[in-house]
Amino acid sequence: MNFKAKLFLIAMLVVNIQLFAQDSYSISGTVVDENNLPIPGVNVLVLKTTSGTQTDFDGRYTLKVADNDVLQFSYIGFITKTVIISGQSKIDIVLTPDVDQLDEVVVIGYGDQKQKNLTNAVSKVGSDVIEKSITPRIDDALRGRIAGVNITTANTEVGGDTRIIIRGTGSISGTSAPLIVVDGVPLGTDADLLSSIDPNNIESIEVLKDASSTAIYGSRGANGVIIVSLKSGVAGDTKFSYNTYTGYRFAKKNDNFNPSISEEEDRIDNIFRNIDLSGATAAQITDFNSDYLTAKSELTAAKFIASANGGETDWQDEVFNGGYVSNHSFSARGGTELTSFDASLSYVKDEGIFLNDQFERYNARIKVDSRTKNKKIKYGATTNVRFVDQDRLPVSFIDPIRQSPWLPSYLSEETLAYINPFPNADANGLNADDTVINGTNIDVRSLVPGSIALEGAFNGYFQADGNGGIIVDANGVPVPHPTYQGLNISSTLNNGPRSFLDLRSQTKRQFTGFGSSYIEFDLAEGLKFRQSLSGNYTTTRNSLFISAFSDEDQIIESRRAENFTTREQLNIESLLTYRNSFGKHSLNSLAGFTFDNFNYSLISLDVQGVFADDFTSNISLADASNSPEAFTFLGQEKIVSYFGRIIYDYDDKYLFTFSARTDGSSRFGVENRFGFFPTASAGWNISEENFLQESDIISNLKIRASYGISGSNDIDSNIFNSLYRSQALASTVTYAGNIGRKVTNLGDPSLGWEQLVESNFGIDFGFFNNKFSGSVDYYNRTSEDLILDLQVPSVLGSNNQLQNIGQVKNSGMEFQLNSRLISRPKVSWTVSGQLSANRNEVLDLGGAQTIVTSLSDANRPAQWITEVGGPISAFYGYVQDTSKEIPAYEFTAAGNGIFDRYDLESQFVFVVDINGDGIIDEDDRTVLGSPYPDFEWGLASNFDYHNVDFSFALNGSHGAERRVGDIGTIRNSDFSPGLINGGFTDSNLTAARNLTSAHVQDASFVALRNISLGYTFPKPVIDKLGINRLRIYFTGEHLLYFFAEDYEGFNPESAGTSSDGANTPITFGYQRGDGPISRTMSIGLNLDF
Amino acid sequence: MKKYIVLMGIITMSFYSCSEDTLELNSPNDVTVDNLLTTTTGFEQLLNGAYDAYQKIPTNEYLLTEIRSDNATVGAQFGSLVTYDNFNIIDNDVEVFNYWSNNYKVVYQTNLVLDNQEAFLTFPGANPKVLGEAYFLRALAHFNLVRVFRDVPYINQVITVDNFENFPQLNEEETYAKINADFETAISFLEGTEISNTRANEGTATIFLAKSILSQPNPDYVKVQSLLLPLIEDSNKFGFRLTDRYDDIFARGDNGDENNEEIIFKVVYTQSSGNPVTSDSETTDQVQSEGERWSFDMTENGQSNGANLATANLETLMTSSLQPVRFSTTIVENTFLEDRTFNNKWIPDNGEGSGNDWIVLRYADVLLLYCEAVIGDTQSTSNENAIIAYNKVRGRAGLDVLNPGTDSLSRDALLAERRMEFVFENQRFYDLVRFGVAIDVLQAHSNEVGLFFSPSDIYLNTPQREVDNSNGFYN
Repeated sequence: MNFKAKLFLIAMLVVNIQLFAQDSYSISGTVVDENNLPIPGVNVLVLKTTSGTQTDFDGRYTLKVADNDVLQFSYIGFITKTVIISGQSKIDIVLTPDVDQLDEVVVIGYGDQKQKNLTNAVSKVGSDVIEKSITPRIDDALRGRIAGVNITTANTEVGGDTRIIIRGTGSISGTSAPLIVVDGVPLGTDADLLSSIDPNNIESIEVLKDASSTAIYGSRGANGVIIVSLKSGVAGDTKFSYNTYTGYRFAKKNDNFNPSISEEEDRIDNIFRNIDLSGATAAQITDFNSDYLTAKSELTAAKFIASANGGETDWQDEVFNGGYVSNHSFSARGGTELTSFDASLSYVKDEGIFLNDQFERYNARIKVDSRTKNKKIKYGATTNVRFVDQDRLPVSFIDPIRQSPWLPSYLSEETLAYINPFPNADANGLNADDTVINGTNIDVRSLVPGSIALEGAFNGYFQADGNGGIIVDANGVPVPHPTYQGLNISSTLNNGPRSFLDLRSQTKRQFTGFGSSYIEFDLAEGLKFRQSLSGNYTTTRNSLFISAFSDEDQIIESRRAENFTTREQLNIESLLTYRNSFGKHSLNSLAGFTFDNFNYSLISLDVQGVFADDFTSNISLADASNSPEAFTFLGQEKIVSYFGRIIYDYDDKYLFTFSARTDGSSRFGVENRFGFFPTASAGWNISEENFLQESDIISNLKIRASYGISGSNDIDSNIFNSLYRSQALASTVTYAGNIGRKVTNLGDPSLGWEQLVESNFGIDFGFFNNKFSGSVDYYNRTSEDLILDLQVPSVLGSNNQLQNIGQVKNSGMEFQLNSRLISRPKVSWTVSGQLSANRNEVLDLGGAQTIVTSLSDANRPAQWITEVGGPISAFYGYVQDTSKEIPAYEFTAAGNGIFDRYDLESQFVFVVDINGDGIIDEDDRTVLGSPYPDFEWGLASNFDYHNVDFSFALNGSHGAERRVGDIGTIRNSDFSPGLINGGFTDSNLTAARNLTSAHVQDASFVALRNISLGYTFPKPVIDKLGINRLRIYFTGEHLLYFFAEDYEGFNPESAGTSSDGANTPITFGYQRGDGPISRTMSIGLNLDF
Repeated sequence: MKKYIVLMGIITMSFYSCSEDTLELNSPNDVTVDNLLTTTTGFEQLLNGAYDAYQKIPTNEYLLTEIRSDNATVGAQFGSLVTYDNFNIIDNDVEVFNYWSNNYKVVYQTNLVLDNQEAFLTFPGANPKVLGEAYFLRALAHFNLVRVFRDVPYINQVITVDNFENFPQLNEEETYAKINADFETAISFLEGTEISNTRANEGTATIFLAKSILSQPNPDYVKVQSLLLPLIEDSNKFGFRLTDRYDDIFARGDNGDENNEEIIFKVVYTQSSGNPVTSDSETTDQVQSEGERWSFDMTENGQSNGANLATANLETLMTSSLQPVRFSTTIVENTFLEDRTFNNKWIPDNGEGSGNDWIVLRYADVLLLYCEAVIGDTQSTSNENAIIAYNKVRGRAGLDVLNPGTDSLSRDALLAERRMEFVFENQRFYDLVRFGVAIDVLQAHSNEVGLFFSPSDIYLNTPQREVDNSNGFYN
């Protein structure tokens, strides 16, 4: 059908819709609340007709009516009122707040529904909560707000991604990340999608939790759905708002890291004083004593350097230096009876708490909705452009948090004096070529005041005096070693931490263009057809620059990399909805068809051996000593879906919902390409029954149950690893100039969906006129046909193969309680709380009983176990036997002992012989803890007294553990010469510390997420200024944050991605190099005019 | 109202008519294996893929062979690296597992070719040498495995999770029988093929067959002699012979002449930036550069201050006075922090992305293997062919030679000569095993340095991960 023909048809349609005129006249009035404040946006409808309007910003409305019409005034959060017209020309209305808010409308997939009639588990967070949060990411604002939603930090940098898990981890290989739906368009599961959304634009966020509510999203709903609804325009005079805040972010120092020189001295003195040498040989005693004195001498030397630098360096202050955050948001909303719009502009800049991370976002949006005069056809469009400019952390914090306090950040004249001028000198004397520090290839002659200091440069300068001091001259000035082969005082040969931060950069620039438009026809009473077309386009450019002198591996070459990704989505959706009531029967149903086409691309350029060691970002062939590494990844994905839903209730008492969806996806094998996802749920509003209607105690009581199946197509968090995986594939390689093909994927044509089967039982209740209300949910969800990149015997030719195998069960309880303790015109106090507990259990692993997974980092082979009957991942290893310690004299001599100042812990520890067979082997490993909390809770309170508002939100999590890998790094137990002398008889009772329970710690916490105090200027004052509303406020985030007693790390909520292979679903809970909690104090302003 | 519905239907269909096409999407990044098996080019490319997979073998082989011998040690006395040196390797060691799986990956690629050889031979222009090379690589990978792990499964077809249990671990004799059979089949397919040191040919397969027989329990020494004698008598048979200068063998990096006539089989790397080939480089990496990191790992900047450093024991034997020629090629003296002796055979030419080729086998080995076969179970020989062969190696190294006809060559002298000739070439450990002295020598070495050797350390345990993933079928 050509375009003209389509236009003609649409025109015909418009013409066909008749207007039935009547004797009518104009009526007007004002709608106010109890405090006589106008309520804008109240829906004023003439019942049984299609005419109606909304109140403007002064609460005024005008409408054509006829006698005996019934006018209905409704607004979210207020009790709906109806008035019968009998000749009045002016009707002023006072709406009273609906205390229980049960008439509140909740957005569900492809529609909305009254909360009162919900039969599913859906939670809503309003814009009030999000606006209170000082964060560039909306998901950070949700922490601790919704029962059953667990949010951890995947990246501690500002704007860094979170990991959201709804009702427990259900997938072994996939991400278990919920589907993100923005303005009705299902975008995907990548947490990055949330970083570009402006919190100021948000009307509400709904979280669909049970399969019955998510099944309408079919193959992508299994891990829950987060629906983000953006604001729309309101008829009336254009209202402008300006919201701004500015604040300061800071971190608290963690004393478990970066010990001072005196703490270090105390430590080795204690070892020396308290050691029992009765078991030691004479040679060991000699070594032990000499190691002790050497260590003391080294500390003496360290003090000289520190004092030349004017004191010790506080590395945490250096790198966690705090920063400012500020936000400016401007919006205009308004419209006429037929056309409304919402336009906004915003800018946020957040410097984060770290030395060189920064997040900036620009957002521009306009949304227009318009109706034909007869209101039979509605048209709307949204365009939204967002630009994110982010300076990302170029490194994790592994280096700064283990750095010695004596090392200056930068060299000065004074500290330069202690640099070894011949770091390569040997016993044969000084040689002019010996000026290069091996390991970094830094020529000490190039060091000047202001150069980045590195520990290795100070090696060899000082000479021990044999008594724990160093040799000094008559003036107390250290005498350098004659051939510069003195004390070796460095803990690392890496360049100083400043080099990683100053001489590297990593930036991300992301542009998102979102456009959507729809046309909606009123076909008959309650029957609507809506056709929409949406597109989302994201380009992301990640740039990396690494200077030659900032590489841990000390490759003496600069590196520059550009990584350019695009993500295009085209979404076409047709929806037919029918909503009507017949007496006591009410029906809300829909049928729909959608088609999604995604195109992905990745272009990567990576070059080492850049000539110019500067921060330009051009890559040219001339820059490289070899040609750049360049490659592309391309991918396409299509999803075709049909779905339908019927929501029926009888007299608001008996509630039923049925829905079904069929999805076909190009991700899966021919044998399993289409999936079917049905669901049913029912509820009984007991309080609507006669026997409860008059009750003074019970004001609301509903029981509900749901059962449904939804699916997940998320094979891998890397989109390119999720596509085409059902086929056996070979990638192109070259060998000795010949093209070869190497098989990368064994393939499985029967690869299909993961399925989630869930039942949910809930009770909603309200007492004393809903002064106390709440809900309790119990759920039982089984994830079946899990897509598992199963480790297979390597003799197959691959270490892994994707298979639909295994089952995981999550079951749990969620409690939500709300109370309105005080609810008077000028004083109100509400407290709400929620509590949730989830249990995760592996039911089947496709025949295997266990999967043991190790970090691929050979020096830190921490392990996890996934075991039938246990949680999806659990820390695994040996149990440290803390009753025994390996005597310090047993460590190898020659300066590699426990007295090396940086070796705070030995590599090996005694472990418990669990099976009691007298030897320590793999069979003595056991489960060491779980990364999942036993329960989590949140508590929020709002108190309004006249013009003052005060609120706070607490959140706690209990029982989760983390493997704090940082400790092994800073105490050097991953690396330390844990080697036990060959003669140590008990060496067969030990195991490497990082394989034991030593670093598995309780990550429980209680956090004061948010505390906020606001003042709204009284109306008489601001009226004179032509202002509608003016509020100033103070907000603090994370001002109180309590860790469990034995937790030594920086952030119990983080589970970062700095270590290869860590924090996948089956290696969860590993921390290494993650940054501390970000605390914020800010002041802000809301202005409406 | 019907009218509208029809109308809506029409509008909707006009949108979706484009989407009715297939959900069948093919990867724009990769080719399917099924496709490759339909053309001769596809088979050749799968074979090249097997060679490419073999690039991972040398990346960590030195950890499991040279560092476990009395020749080499590591720089850092901590971390996992030291466990190879001191015989404390844990069962879930990553490198041990990688060595196992990387060899079976080579086997898998060859099996894709060999499983479909009938179909292949029906294609016009199909060159049977593709099959010969595949047989060779399959045998070589198993030869690697049997020497490290001893009891290994011999995988000679493409297998799945459902049938791997048809391939149990075999004892040493059974495995060697299959290796030898594969080498023999390779020889028959490769007869008369062009001589090359980067791809298998008749000569390569013959020499490896000889070495494999020598390595098996109760070797057939006569057969080895008959296989190698033609190469000893005519040192240009198959084109392999000694270079004039010892140092020329190790033309380091891409710039030197890495194609010298002494090299019988080598693994090729090309200098490049980007991710070098390592034992665990991802098979799914779209770009896997052809550079190697192992030579960088052996330097002071490499794996935790260097690996493959000379042991104190070697330092006393490998001196400029005792080894006037080989010393400077083998050792680079360096004083970084402490006195440590770095090897000079594999100096990287481009950091972590160097182009050194790894020499798997060279002609000097042929000469000395022949001597070994002649000595057989005895203690010495005065066989003239053997003495001459031995002398060629000795002579080039600037050392005294034996007098053919009067002098005899002892087992001990042969072993000592092999040690000096092949330092840092992953030969020493297997030499000790073949000569039956591994336990004695390594125990003495362990006692001297203070390591944890015990006789059970000669063979490594099946990697823990393989045990777990096969539900204990492999153990």
